[in-house]
Amino acid sequence: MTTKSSNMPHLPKTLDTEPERQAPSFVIRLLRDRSGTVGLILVVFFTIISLLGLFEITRYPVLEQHPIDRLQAPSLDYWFGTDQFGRDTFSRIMKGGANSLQVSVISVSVSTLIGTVIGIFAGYVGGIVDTILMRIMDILFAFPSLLLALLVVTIIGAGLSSTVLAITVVYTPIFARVARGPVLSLKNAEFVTAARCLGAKDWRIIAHHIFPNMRTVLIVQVTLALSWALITEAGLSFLGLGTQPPDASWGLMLSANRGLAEIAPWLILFPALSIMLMVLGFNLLGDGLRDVLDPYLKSE
Amino acid sequence: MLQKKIFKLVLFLLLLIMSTSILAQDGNILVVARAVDATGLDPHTQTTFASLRLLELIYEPLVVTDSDLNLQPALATGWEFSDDGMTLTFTLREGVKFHDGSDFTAEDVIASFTRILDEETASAARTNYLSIDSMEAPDDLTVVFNLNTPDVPLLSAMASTNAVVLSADVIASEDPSLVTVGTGPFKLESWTPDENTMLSANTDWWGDGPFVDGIEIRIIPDEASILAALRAGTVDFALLNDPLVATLLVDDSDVVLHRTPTLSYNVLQLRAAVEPLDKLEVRQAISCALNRQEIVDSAALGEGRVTGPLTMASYALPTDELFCYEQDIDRANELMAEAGLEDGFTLEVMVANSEPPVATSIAQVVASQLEAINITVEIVPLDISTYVDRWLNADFAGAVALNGGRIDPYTMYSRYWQYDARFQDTAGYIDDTLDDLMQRGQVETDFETRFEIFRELQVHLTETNPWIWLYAGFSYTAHQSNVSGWEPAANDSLYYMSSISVER
Repeated sequence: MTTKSSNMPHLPKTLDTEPERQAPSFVIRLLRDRSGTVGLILVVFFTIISLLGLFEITRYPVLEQHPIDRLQAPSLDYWFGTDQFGRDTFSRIMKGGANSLQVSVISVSVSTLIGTVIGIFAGYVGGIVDTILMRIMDILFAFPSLLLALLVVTIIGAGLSSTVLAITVVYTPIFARVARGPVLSLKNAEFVTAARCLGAKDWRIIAHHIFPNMRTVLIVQVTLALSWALITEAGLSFLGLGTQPPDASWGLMLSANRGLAEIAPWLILFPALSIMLMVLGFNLLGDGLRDVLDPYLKSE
Repeated sequence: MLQKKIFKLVLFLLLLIMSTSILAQDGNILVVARAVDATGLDPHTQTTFASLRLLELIYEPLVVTDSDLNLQPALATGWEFSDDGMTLTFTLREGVKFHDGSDFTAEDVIASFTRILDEETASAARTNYLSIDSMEAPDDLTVVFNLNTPDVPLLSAMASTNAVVLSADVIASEDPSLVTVGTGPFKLESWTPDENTMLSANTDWWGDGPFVDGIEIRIIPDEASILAALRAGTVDFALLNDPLVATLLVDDSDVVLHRTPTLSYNVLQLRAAVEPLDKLEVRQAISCALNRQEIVDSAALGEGRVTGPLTMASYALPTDELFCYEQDIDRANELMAEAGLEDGFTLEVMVANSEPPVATSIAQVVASQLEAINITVEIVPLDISTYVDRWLNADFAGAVALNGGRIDPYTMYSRYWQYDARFQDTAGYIDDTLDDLMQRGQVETDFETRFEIFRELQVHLTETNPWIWLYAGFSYTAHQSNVSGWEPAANDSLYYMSSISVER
C-alpha cells in the first residue's frame, strides 16, 4: 500500500507516508533514465547559451559587422565562422537561441494556461459547453500547425510578437485536449465525490483535487510542445515571417545563408545543428519525464 | 498467362513513355528558366522587368538598342529629324508581317502611338512621348511625327518595349492584353502564369533567325533551384538576378555565365518630405557616413560598381566628382550636429523581400554603417506588392530600391526630378535647379552642352541628396555550352535571343 500511495491521487497528509524511502527524488529518477539524462543535458546547455545570448553576453556584439573578416571559416577568432557581413556566427547562434527559446517559452506558457483552463472547464461542466468548446478546438487542430501559424502571421503581420501569438493559437487545442481527458475520469472519482459531499465548491475541487492529478501529464506535454514550438518558430523565421533581420534566429540564418551554402557551409551547418540538438533535447527530456512520472510506464 | 499479360503491359507502357519522350524532343525547343513571371501581356502598360523580358521576344519597336547601347533599325530602317527638330520621319521596313498574317504598315504605327498617348490606356511611358503633336502617313512605309517642341530623347525613348507597334486591327477590335499579335521573332503559343510560357518561332520574321523551333520559359521561383536545374542540364538557358547564386557558376565548366553591367541602380531613397530628412544636413550626413564600396562587397559579394545618379557610360561621372562619395564619419557627425541631431534619430527603411534578392542585405549594411552617426535604422521588410503600393503612394521615409535605368539621362529621370513628374511624390524632393536642368536637357541637341547639363544635374543631386545612390549591379544570363549565338544586351533585353541556336 505504501509504495502505491505516491501515485494515489491527493491523499490527506494525515496518512503520514515516508516519501524518501519509497521513491528517490524526481531528479535522480530522471537521471537514471538514459534518454532523460541526455535530454536534460542538451536542454540545460542550450538554455545557458540562450540566456547568455538574451543578455547579449556574447563573444562579439550580435549585430557588429567586421567587413574585413567576411565569410571566414571557423577559427579561434570566430569559432563558428562569419557570415557575408563579417558577423560572428557563434554570437548569432547564441542570440538566435535566445529569440527562439523566448518565443517558444512564452507561447507555450500562454497556450498551456489557456488550453488547460478551456480543457478543465469543458471537461468539468460537460454537456453543450463541452461540445462547443471542443469542436472549436478540433477545428483549430485540423490544420497543420505551420499552416495555421502562417495564416495567423499573414493576418497580423510578421514580427516577434505575432510569432508568439501564432504559436500560441496553434498549441492551445493540444493542451485543451490533454487537460480535458483526465478531468472526465477525475470528476467522477470517489475522492471528488467525497469532497463534494463535504460541501467543497467547484473551484476548490478543481484547484485542490483535479488539477494536482493532471500536473504530470501537463509537464510532459509542455516539454514536448516546447520542441514543436521551436520547430514552428524556426519554420516561420525561415519563411521570413518570424524574427526579422538584422536580428538573429536559427531559422532566419538558414534561409538568409542558403545561397552561400556552397562557399560557406558553416553558415548552414551550425544553425541546423542547433535546431536539431535543441529539439532532440526537448523530445528526449519529454520522453524521460514521461517514463519517470507516468505510473503505468514504470519499468521498475 | 498472367505473367505474359503483365509483361505485355509493361512493354506497352515502356513504348508509350519512349514515344512521348521522342515526341517531346521533336523540334529544337530552348528551355529557359527564370524566377519571376510576367504580370500581364499588354506591352504598352507593363512596367515590371519580368513582363518586358517576355514581351520583347514577341513585339518590336521602331528602333532597338544593341549591346553597346547604339540605336539599330528594327521595324524602321531609317529615321531623320528635320533641321528645326520639329519633325521626325521614319522609313518603315518592307514586307514585315504580323503573327496573324496581316501586313505591317504606317497605319499600325500611328494606331499604336495614338493608343500610347491616349490617357485612358494608362501607358507606362506616355510622358516620354508627350512632344508628339500629330502623326501622318504620306505612304504605307513612311511615318512623320510632328512635334510641339524639339525633343532629342524621343528617338531613344522609342527603343522601348513600352513603345512597340501593335496591329491596328487588334487595337481597334480586340484587347491587346488578351490578344498577342506582334511582329517579333517569336509567337506566343500559351501563357500559364507562374508556371510556363510556350513560344514558337516566327518563320516569317524579317530578320536572320530564329534558329530554334521555339522557347519554353519555366518559372522556377527560387534561384538556387534554377542553379540546380542548370547543373542537372534540365534547362538550357537561365536568367539570374542574385549575385550570390550567379557567382557560383563562375568556375563551372559546363555552364557559360554572362555578366552584364546593368543600367538599373540600387539606391537608398530618402523622402525629403518627411522629418528629419527635410534637413539638408541630415541627408548629406547619411551620404557621408556610408561606405558604398563596402555595401557592394558585403551585400553583393563585390558584384557591382559604385555609381552616381547616371549609370550609362556616356554620361556617368567619376565618383570623385560627386559629393561625399568617400566615407567621412567626422564630416557626417559635424553635419548631424549642424542639424541639431547629434543624438541621432530612428529612420524607418522599407525593403521588399527578395526583390531584388540583395535588398535586405543592403539595408543591414546601411543600418550598421549609420550607427556611427547615431542613426538607428529600423528595417521594415515587406512583400513586394505591399512595398510597391507604399512606394507608389509615397508612404515611407526611407526605402532600399532597385530602379530601372535608361540609355538617355532625361528619359531615365523625367518621372522623378521635374515639377508634376509622375513619381514626384515618391521622389520626395524637387527644386528649381533640378527642374530647370531637366528641361534644358530635354531640348538640347549638342552633345557637349548636354553632357555639361547632366554633369551639373548629377553634382546637384548628390549635393542635395534626395536619394543616396549606391551601386549598379550586374544581370546574369547562363546557358549550357551547347547553346551558342547569345550576346547579352546592356539594357537586359532578350530581343537578341533570336540569334540563339542549340546543338542537340
